[in-house]
Amino acid sequence: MPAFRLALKLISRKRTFIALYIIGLTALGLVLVGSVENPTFDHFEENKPDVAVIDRDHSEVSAALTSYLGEHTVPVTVADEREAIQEASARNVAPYIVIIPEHYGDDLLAAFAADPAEPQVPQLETVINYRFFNGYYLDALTDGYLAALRLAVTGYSDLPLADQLAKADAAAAQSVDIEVYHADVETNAYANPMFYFQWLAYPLTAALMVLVSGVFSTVLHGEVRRRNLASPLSSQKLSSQVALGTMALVLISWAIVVAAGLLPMVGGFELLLNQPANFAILSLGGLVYAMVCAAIGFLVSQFGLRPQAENGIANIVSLSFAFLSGVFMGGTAMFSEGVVAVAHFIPTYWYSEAVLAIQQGEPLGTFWGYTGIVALFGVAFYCTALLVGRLRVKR
Amino acid sequence: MLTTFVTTTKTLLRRRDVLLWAVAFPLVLATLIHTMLGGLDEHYQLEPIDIVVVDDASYAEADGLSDLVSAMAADDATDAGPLFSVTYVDSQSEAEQTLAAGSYYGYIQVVDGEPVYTADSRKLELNSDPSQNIVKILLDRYQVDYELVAAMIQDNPQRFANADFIAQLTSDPDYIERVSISENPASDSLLYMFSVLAFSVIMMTTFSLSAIEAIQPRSSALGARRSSAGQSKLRLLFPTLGAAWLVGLLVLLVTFIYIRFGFGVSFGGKDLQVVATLAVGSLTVTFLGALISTFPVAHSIKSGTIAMLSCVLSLFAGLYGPFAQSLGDSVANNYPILAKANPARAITDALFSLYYYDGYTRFFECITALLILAVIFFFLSVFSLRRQRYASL
Repeated sequence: MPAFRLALKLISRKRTFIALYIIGLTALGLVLVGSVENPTFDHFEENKPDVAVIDRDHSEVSAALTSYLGEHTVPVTVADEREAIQEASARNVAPYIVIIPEHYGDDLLAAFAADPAEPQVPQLETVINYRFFNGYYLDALTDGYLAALRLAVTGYSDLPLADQLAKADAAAAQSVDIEVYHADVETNAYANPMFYFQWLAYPLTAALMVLVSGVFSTVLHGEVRRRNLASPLSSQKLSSQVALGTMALVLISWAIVVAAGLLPMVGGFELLLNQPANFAILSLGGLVYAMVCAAIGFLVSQFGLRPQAENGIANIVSLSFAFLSGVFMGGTAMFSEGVVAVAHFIPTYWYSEAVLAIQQGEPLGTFWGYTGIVALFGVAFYCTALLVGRLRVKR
Repeated sequence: MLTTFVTTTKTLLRRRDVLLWAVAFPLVLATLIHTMLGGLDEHYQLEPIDIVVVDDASYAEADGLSDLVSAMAADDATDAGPLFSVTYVDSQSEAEQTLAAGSYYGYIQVVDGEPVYTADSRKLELNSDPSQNIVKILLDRYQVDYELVAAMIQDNPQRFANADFIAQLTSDPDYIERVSISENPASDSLLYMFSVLAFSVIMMTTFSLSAIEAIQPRSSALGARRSSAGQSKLRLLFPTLGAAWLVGLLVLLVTFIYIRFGFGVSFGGKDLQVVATLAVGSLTVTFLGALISTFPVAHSIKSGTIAMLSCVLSLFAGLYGPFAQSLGDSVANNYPILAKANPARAITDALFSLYYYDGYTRFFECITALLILAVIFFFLSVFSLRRQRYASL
């Protein structure tokens, strides 16, 4: 198997790329996945966002509102200066900032008294970070307390303010019962390993494109090709042995990235212990995808480009595929329909969808359907590569 | 020196593979990001929350609850349209069957006169989806109002004979006004564009790597010939670095013009300051590339290092999506020195500061950080270059 050994030798010479793309990009994935908080799915837990209250009023009303918000959020202190407020909001230190203006308490009570049916109430100012999801929720929380206060003030107009506030506080402490419905389909609590399985498409695409195209470029073009043609080894044997060498590379790369997913920061080991079938299926999906990446690398090698150009193409393709397929975002929910339509023409999209199918507890048939599409992409790339190679030889 | 500068500039501009890599990659990436995430800010707007309501006798008897649910499902519930998208069913079992399909957040049922909300376990990711919290807080509000009014009826029933009093209780004024604290409201899609520009800047390291390698004796035959000429290393180094910086800046300007005018992305009317940021960023990475070029390893390892560095630094600058942005923010908030030591993050922050803040304090902090990094990289690369020997006795 001289050509097989040649392929392995060529691969071993690209140790740097193996280290950079497989290990380096996998490590990036580990850092990223490890930084994501794994959500709980078994019970309802009130979300407590970071909130800053800037109280310019210092009245009983503003103190009561501040206290109420403090119970339902994580209070953050922000100085009452424009630049400090900008800074806190921009850096997400306080994604929701409530500014209680001067004389707010007096003006609010005066508004309730002046026209109880349609009070012209003073406005609280809120500053919300542009990436904050919970703005409406916190608006409703604040609004709810003030509505309770209005009811207490209107309904118990004969009581002093302190008692009215006590009534409002007591009422605002009410809460509905929350139960959790567990669907028959298995709820997959392993969001982080699933995210990692999506991420591994990125290092696999970049690494296998660079490495496989590098191996085949060396064998198929230039002086090495001419020497091989002069050797007694038939073209068929040569190609199959080199292909075998690249298959070994695919297996090693796949094994490294999947094994890295077992590290504690990802939680893949827990997935393996508790849902071994899902882990095995996801790993198999990763292997199919890795073979597709090798087919793309094989296609790139047919064009006879310089190594630096192949490297550039691998980077552009891997990053583009990963972005378009929502690999970095845990899916394509954020994308427009047009972008998702384009993503359908990328194998990474179907691989990512296959992982999501497992995560969302969809029937296994869905996973195999998506993985089948991924495999078909591989066949298409491989056939195209053969065609391009044939055309180049004819020229 | 001028001849070296001109020749190096021409040489770099003729390196088609390097230019393809340095120009095409940022343009492709910018196009991708703009196409994919141009409408990202709409993602943060509230979508109607799909809920199921068990519309049985208990629900009909719960005073005001059906009015609340109907009001939340009306087109004018919020500025953006309805808040709830409600499916009514007759029983709890039917509600659970409906939930099993997986597209609903939960169901509301009245038990013993009080509303109970049952949330679907598959939709409990509360940090990135506020829907469950919103359903809960609205039901809480119903409960609060109900308790207060019930107490009033008990304490002071005669007041409810007065229609005006009931009208007073049912009024619902707006208490909150959203304000923008900046002249240029920030947006998520814009932040990705800043990250793309920062990524592009880091990639300009390629030019100084190629240029400096061409004057190093052990990197190539050309380098050996140039080293044997009677010109001092510094007289070679400065114009070479200058040429690499200039070509890098030109490429960055192409990317900037493409983003600014091709996509119409506004940088808060501070285009000149953006160009200045790119110039400083290009200077920093030029020296970084020079430093990497002095590593005693093969060219492929150096170029691979640059590719990897671009990825790692850009991760913390938020290029890789919302999770990366959160990670980058967390690092910047907890370890500001690390954020400043990351050129990609410093460039992203500088561009953001220009756009968002009224003053220039934050911007100059970022520029200062970039300049300090530039000085460090420069002295390290000069130190490394001075100590190199080739075919020496």
